[in-house]
Amino acid sequence: MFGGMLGAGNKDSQQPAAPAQPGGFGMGGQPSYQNPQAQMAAVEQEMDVISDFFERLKDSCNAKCIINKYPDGELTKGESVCLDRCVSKYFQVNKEATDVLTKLSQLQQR
Amino acid sequence: MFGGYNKGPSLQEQQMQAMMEQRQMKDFMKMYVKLVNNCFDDCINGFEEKNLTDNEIACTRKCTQKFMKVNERVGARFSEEHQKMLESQIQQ
Repeated sequence: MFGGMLGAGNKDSQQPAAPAQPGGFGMGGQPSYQNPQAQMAAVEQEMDVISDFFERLKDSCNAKCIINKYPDGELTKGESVCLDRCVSKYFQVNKEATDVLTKLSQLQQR
Repeated sequence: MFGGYNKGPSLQEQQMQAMMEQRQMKDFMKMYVKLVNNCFDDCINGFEEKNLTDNEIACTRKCTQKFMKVNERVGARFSEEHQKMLESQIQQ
């Protein structure tokens, strides 16, 4: 379900319970775990990464897009469009960074 | 995949459920703390009196509303992008 998508984050929140995945960026989906405890720890760790990613994304896009401070409680058209694009770009930056890191780690392994 | 046929939820399922609930609560509290901090910073600037002025109250209410809308919208886009990302990874 949470097949290691934001794998780069694994690096700063290492937990002994979850075995390091080959390549370190978890691109190959969920490895199988011998015991349920380890699996749950892995899922939890994965969710920590996702939730952290989401929080940061929200902070960034909020700061960048919400300029019109509270003439009313509604998002303006411009702000809404900005938020949509902001989320999309955030994911693209994530992908670019993951790609570069993956390449680097592949080079290192040789 | 989980547990037997006519038993209740397995221990692992129960643990997972408890973990999810805990996490939801934590996420909500995080959001709440951020909301208060954000709207305080944006709406409260002077300390000439002890109580909130009418303007500050109005601003705080609008700020709260808007914060929730941002939350909702970003959350929706996030799930879409996340889903896309998962699908493209499965294809690889």
